[in-house]
Amino acid sequence: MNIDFVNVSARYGDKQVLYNVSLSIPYRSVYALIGPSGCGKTTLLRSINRLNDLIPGFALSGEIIIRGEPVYAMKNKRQIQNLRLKTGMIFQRPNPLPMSVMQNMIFPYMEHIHASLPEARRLAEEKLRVVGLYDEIKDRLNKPAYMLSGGQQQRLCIARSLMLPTDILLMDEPCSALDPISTFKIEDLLSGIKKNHTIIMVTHNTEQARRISDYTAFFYMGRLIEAGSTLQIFSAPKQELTQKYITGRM
Amino acid sequence: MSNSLHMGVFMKYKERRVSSAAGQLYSWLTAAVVTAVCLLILLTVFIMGKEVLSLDFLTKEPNPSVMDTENTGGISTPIVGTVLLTLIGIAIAFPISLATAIYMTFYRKNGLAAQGLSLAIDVLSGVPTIVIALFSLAIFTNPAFTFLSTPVQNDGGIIEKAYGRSFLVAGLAMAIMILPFVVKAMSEALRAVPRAYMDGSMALGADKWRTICKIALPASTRGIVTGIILGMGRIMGDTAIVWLALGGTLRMTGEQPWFSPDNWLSTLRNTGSTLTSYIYYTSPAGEGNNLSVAFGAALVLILIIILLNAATALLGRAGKNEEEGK
Amino acid sequence: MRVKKVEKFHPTEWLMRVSAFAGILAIIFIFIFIFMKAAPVFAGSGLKLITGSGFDSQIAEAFDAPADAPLLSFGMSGLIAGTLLSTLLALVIAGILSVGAAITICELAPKPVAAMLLSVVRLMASIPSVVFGLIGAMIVVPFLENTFITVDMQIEFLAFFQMTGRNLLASVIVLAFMIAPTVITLSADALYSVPGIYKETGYAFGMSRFRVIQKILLPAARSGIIAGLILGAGRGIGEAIAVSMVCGGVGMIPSLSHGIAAIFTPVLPLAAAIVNKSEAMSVPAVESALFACGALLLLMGTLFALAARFYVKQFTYGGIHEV
Repeated sequence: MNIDFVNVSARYGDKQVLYNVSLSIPYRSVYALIGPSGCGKTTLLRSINRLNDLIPGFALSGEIIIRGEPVYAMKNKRQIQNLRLKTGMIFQRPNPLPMSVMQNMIFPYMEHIHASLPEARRLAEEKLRVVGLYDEIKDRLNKPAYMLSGGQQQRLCIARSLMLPTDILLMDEPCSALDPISTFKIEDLLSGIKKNHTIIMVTHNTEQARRISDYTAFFYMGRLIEAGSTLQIFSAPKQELTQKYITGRM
Repeated sequence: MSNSLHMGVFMKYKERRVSSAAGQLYSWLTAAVVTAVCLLILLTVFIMGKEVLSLDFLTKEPNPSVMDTENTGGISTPIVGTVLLTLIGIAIAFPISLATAIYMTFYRKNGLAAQGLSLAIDVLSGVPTIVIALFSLAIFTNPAFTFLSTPVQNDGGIIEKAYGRSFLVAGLAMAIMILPFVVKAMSEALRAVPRAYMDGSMALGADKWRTICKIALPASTRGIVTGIILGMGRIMGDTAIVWLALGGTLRMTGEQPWFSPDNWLSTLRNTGSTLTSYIYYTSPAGEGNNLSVAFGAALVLILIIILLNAATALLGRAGKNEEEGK
Repeated sequence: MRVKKVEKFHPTEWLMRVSAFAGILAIIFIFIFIFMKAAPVFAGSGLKLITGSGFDSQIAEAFDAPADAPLLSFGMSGLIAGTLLSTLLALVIAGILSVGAAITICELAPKPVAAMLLSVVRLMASIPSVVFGLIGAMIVVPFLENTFITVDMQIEFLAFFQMTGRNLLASVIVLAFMIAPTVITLSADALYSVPGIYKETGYAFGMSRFRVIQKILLPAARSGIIAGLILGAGRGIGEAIAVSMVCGGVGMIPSLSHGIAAIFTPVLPLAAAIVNKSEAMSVPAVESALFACGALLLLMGTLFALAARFYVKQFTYGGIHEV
């Protein structure tokens, strides 16, 4: 049940951004992708649920295998929609839709699943508890989601992605727009979600990677430089580049 | 846990696919209908209009009686009328619009005057052109405005009111009509001037008015010209004001020959026609009921407007290129 | 550090300040003069101006009335009904056409096709109203006459009105296509300005392209689309020339008791009435009646303009799109 990248290269038009990346991500782990800006880690993340397909000129060679299924062999729209549905995505900036908190929660659920409204609401409340948001905002469930603070919005988005039958969570620098306390709260709740999700997180913050991830992969200029357990990467990196990056000399 | 939900059983995929297909069909169909209608209109005008198009048609004056379908004459005076009216209207509207746009962009504070001005412009944009035409009739028939049109004398030979229909009157009405649209276009252009340009000039010691004149206006010339062209297009396309305020006579009614330089004031103070009023007059709705010349005039009018549009598009493209070159 | 500068006196600057207020002056004078000229008929008709009917014959009578005993009582319910009905129905058709066309332009069509569609819409917006009227009289009117209206129907309704191709439906069709470009342009603007992240959010949920459009983009663009419809409505009520060429020129109120045939009732909206009866304007009573039409139009137009202003302000400052 791993996620396997096999010889993945990717380009936007003429510009190649990933070169022959091969990587295996174990099930139910927190995997951090680190590296300087423009190293291709976000592209890799967005390739997993084929969200890059929306960008004109994007092309990928190689293969990504999830749950034993080759993702880029999918031709059928339904397969791709299913893949995205089972793969939660958290963006850099919180992305609540312009509707109320509760509507945000049940929107993707009602979109895909035959369920009654009370059922959906009950599930939504349960998921809001998972991210520790329910007690904070239970009297504001029908207020517009944009009225929440940035950190609350981001936790709302995490709770929303748990509404669908996801087992993979892709996070694209989920805390870069947040203050330290909100960041801490999110890092904290990930350990709970980890029990039944594989979490892949792009981060600029090496400290964050060290704190919460089980494995870390370091990218530089579109190439995978080094991957391994977080402990090993941060205590005994094999590559000089990795050493330079994690000690902040790059 | 919901995560163990059995996929497939609960999915709404099938019904979604049907509604998606229906939605796409609807969207493409409506786009096709709009396109088809536009092309149908243009094609009809072109096919019907090109029959009568000739040098004679363009350069001869219309005959007083368009009922005589064999001998209708040309559309020279309507063409001249359209050009004249457009120039008068824009000449009046341009300075006022620019002043309003400058005031609203750079001087507006949250005072009553500025609020009132913005409200007035918005309300003015909602006034139907036919009402503006009525208004111009009401105000410019006042004897005080005899200089804009011609005097109307009563039986005793005393001037009791002005005729209230002339190129000058219609031009004023046109200026009022296009004012809000031109103001909006110009305000947008002025607002787009980067704040830093202006601050730079102010920092060098220039005061506000000099900064506006030397920095903001040159930087937004293209937008201002676009606004002017927009206004010209609206004037050319309007019929209601022409029909009521220009008098809707086919020929120029000032002292003849109307094109003689000595008679320019008389021509402007008297009635005439434009391409739109000519079309209305010769259409089944007017008195002429002479479709072929109506379509001929419509073709000429649409060609002029397409040329204007092309000019705006070229301006826009030039602007884009310049920005990319930066 | 900011230094407070002494502003020099510029004569041109003061000229600018003064001429900037021409707009306020214009709108005030418009209200004063229209209502002043309409006053005799307002006073002579009272509330019957809005509730009464029989405008066509009243105009003819007023035209023939002796100058010392002018007829000042008019009933414009038919004209008002014609204005509202033709605008409302045209708005429905234009709305249906415009939302679909805007979706195609912004979301479905490949770039070159979208650019082509957009220029078609711009071109259509710049076609003069009199040309719409001409095409309406040339194509729409005969089409309605030949396709839907039979001699039997004409005989059946002879007691009520003379059924021809010039009727409510013809006005609605012509108006709808005149309004559509405005609504399409504003709807497309609204769709374009929906933040891209909303779209990505939808796709990341595994939604199909059209579901994203339907459930995310359209609701987010709703305000802009409604603003477009309000502007379109303003244009619809004020359109005089094109409508006067196809409306039938009789100020009747379409009656529901006539069933579907009611859409073939000849109508005379306010704006068209001004054009149609303008030749009789030399008679002061008729002139005042037409100014009363103008006053009603002015009120409606102002209402729509204020509604649009209010709505756009909410749309701009409501912060719906702030994240």
